[in-house]
Amino acid sequence: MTGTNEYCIEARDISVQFPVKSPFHLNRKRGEKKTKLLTAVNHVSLSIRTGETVSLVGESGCGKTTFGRALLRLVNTAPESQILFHGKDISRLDEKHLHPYRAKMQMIFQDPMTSLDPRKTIGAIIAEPLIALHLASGTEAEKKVREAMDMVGLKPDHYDRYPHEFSGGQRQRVGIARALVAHPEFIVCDEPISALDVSIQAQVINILEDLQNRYGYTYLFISHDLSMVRHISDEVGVMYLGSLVEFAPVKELYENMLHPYTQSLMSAIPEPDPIANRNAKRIILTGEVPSPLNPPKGCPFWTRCRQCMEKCAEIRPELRNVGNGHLVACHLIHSDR
Amino acid sequence: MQNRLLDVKHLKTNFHTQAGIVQAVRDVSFYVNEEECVGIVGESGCGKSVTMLSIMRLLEENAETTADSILFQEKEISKYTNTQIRKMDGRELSMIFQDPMTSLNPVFTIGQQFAGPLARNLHLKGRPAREKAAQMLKLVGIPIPEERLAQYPHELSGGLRQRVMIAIAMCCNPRLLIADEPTTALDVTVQAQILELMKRMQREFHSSVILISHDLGVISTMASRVMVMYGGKIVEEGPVDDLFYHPAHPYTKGLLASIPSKKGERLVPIFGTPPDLLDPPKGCPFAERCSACMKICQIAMPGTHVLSEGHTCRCWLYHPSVMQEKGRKHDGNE
Repeated sequence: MTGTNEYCIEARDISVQFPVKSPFHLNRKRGEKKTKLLTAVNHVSLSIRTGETVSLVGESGCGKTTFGRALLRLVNTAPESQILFHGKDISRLDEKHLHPYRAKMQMIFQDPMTSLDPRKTIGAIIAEPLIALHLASGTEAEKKVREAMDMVGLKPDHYDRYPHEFSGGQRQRVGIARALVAHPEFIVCDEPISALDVSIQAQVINILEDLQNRYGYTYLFISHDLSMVRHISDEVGVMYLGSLVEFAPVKELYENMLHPYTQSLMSAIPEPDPIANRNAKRIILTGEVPSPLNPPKGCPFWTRCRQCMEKCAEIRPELRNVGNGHLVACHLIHSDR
Repeated sequence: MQNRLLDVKHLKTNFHTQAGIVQAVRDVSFYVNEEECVGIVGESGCGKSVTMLSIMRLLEENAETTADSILFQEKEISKYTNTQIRKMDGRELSMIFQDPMTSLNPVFTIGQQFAGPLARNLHLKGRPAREKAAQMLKLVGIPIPEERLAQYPHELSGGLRQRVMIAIAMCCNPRLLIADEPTTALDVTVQAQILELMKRMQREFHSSVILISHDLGVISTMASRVMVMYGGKIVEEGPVDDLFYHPAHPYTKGLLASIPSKKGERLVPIFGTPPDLLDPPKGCPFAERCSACMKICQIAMPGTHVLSEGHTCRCWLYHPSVMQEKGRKHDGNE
C-alpha cells in the first residue's frame, strides 16, 4: 500500500452506453424509439497510482462494475474516452495490439460459485489466462499455476480437484490465483468478498493485501461493504447513477463527507455497535434510484436529495476540487471552502 | 417476567440425503417473549433458517424434525398436524423470505397474492379485501397502492417487492413474524428503509420478530436479544449489549474481530471452515477453528454455562473447573 506517484491507470472521461430494446413493444408509447440508449457510466475520470487501491462504492446498478470492465477494455467506451495504462493510451488499440496488455490487467469476480468452470480441474482453471494469452503451456504452465496456488494459500494436492469440492472462500482463492498467474500489474476486484461469510471475508482481504505488499499490485476495488472499503483503500470514489459524485483519499472522505448522497449512504450502514445505533440519526433516503434509461436532468441525485435547490434540477454539477485531493460534484459546495 | 410467546425445547432436524444424514439442527432450545425482537446470527449452513422452517413446517419431505416441545402461546404445536399448522399461517405465525425476487408468485398480481391470506384468515373477499390490501401497501410506504395492486411482481423494484412481502406477511396481524435475511438482497440505502419499516410495524402491531441475519450490524440495530448459532447449535445467547460489548464464545469474539475497524490494522480472520454436518465432530463444533482449543473440546460437547442474567455460552472455557484453573494461574502471576 506504499504507492509511488506514478499512475498505473488513468481513465479520462469514460462513458459507456448500452443499446436497450424494449421487450414489451406494446408498452411503448407512440413515437418512442425502438432502441433506447442506457448510459451506464457517464463521463467518469479517475486515476490510480501504481501500488495503490482505489475503491468504488455505490448501490447496485450505479455503473461501478461497468466502469471496471471498461478499464479492462471488456466493454466499448464512447469515442472521447481515454484509458492510459502507464501513460500509453490503450482505448483505441485493436485486439492484436491489446494482447500484451491483457496479461497485465486481470479481474476477480464477485461470485466464486459461478465464475469457475465446473467441468475443469482447479489446475486447468488457473492455467486459463496462460493458455489464452499464449504465455505458457505444458509443464511450464503447471509450474506457474502451482506458484500462483502457493501464493494464495491453496495446497498442492488441490491441483487435480474440481470446484464443487471447495467452499466459497477456497473458490475465491482459486479466482484470485487465476487473476495473478499471468503476473498482472492491475487487478479489478469486483465485489470479491460479498458472496462470502463474514469469518471468511477477512481471510480473502488479507491475501489481497499481502499480495499487494509483496508484488506492488494496483487494485480497483469495487464493493458496497463500506467498512471493508475503509480498511483496504487509499482513495475512494462514490458513484450514483453512472456518475462519480465524490472522490477523496480514504481518511478525508470518511471524516469529511461533502456530497449529500455520500452522507446518506454512510449513515445507512448499520455498525455492529448497539449503543451507537440507538443514538444514530440515520438519513433515510426516500424513493429509489431513477432508471438509467430515463435519468433526471441536472444533478443525478436531485430527485432524492433533501437539500435540493432549484438549480440542481437544471444544471449538472461539475466535479470540483475542494482541496486535499477531495473532489465533489454538488451545487451546495463552493470551490472556496 | 414477560410472557413467553414461543418456547422451543430440544429441537432437532435431520435431512436424509443420498450422502447420508445431515444433522442441520442439533438440539436447539430457545424462547421468544411477547413484543420482542430476537436476532439469530450465524454463517450460511449453520442451521438458522432450518430451525425456523422446522417450526413453520415448511421443509421438504426428506427432513425429519423432532422436538420435546414447541409451545406457541402456551399451545403445544409440535403435536399439531400439518393442516393445523397451515391454519396458523398468517394469523399467528408469518414469514418473510430472503429473496423478494423469487418469493412472490410471478403469474399473479400483487392484489391476488393478498387474496389467499385475507380470505382464509379474515374472511375478506372482493372490495373489502382490496381495500385492506391497499391499506397495508400504504402502511408500508408504497405510493399509489391501488395501481400497484394490479401490477405483477416483475414491474416492481427489489425494495418495493420486499415491502409487498412485509405487507402480505403483516396483513392478518400475526403474533410472530419470522424474517429470514429480509435485507440481504437489497442495497444499504433500501436496507435502512426496510429495517425502519420493520421496527415501525412491530410497534404498531405489537408482534414479536425473529430476525435471521449474518450481518452483525443489522442485528445490533434491530434485536434486543441475540442468539449465535454455529454448526447446528446455539453457542451463545444474551442481551444485545452483553453480546456485542462482552462476547464470551471464541466464535462470537472472532466474528466481531473480523470486522475491520481502521485502515492499516491487519484483519484478524477466523481460520478454517465450518464443520461438515454430515459427520459433525464429537466435541465442540468450533474446536477445529478455535484459538483457545483445549483437549477436552475435541472429545466432548461443552455444556451451556450462565455468565450473567440471560447471557449463556456453550464453551468449555466457562466450565467451573476451567474457570477455577484460570483463576489460580491468574493469582500465581500477580
